[in-house]
Amino acid sequence: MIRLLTCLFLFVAVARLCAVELLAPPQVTTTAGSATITWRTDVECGTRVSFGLLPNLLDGKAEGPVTAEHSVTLKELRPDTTYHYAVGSARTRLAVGSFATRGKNTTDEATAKSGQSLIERLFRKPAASAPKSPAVPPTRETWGHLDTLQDHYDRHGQDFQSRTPDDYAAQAWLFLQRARAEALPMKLDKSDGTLRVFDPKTRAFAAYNRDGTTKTYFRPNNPAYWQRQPGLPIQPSQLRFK
Amino acid sequence: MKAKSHTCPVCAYKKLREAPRSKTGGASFEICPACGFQFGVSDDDDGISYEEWREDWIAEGMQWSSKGIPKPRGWKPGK
Repeated sequence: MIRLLTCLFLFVAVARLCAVELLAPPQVTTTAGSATITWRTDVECGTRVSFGLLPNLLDGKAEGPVTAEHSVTLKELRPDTTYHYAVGSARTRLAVGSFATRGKNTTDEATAKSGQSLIERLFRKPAASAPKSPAVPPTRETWGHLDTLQDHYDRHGQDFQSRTPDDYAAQAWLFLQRARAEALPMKLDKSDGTLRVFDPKTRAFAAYNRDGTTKTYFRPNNPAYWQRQPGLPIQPSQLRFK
Repeated sequence: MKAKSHTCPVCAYKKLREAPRSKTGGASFEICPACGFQFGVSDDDDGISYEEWREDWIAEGMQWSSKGIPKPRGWKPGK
């Protein structure tokens, strides 16, 4: 019994020692080609920043020493580009956020948007003035061939943090509605009726059948992807489907 | 009328819904249910050639790829 209690006490003690807390949101300063992220923790722990162009694909990593005052500089970044990041240690993610590097012609440093703690992100309230999304029709009306949806979702759903195949299909449909409302770049390939849509800001790309149902929806990695797509530019008012 | 089917240039699966490329060269974006190659993405975005994908697919045992489209009865890889 005494042994059991001793083990339990040691377990709790170790668990408390391992519980690292963020004392303030990370601060980011950027130049055209670099970003320095700093943050403080209540105890000394490892220093790691994961970063990337997509919030769910933080494939870059930079590390620092064990400390309570953390600072990591990311180098060789692209100018005028939004990066997403997560800070923490090798085992613990303390906060996530994003920053944009400066344009090539900008010389002054700027403080980027601070990272939000995970808790802040989870519990933040939506903006009161956010426009309401239109009601999404059932997936069978928006996706081209239902039996292909699972494979497209498995491959590309993570690009948009889709939770289910239906969610992914709905996002693809909403993207088309937004593209029409905001006149995003569109190309129509008259040889097979495929409509291609691209958002240069978010790099989201979708292809639709001639009836407006979705073929696929994803974020290309290749920066020249949109330029290489065939088809003639088309205005939303010229689309034949509703 | 029976819909025309097309052959996958990667694995020779014969029942693709669309031609992998339109007359203008645009991709179909179809994912081959047999080998999993997505025309217009695996090649145009990921930069993987038909040959490279085929070699990998063969090396991994030529498994039926699709989770949504059931494997046809009697399907044999490469047919």
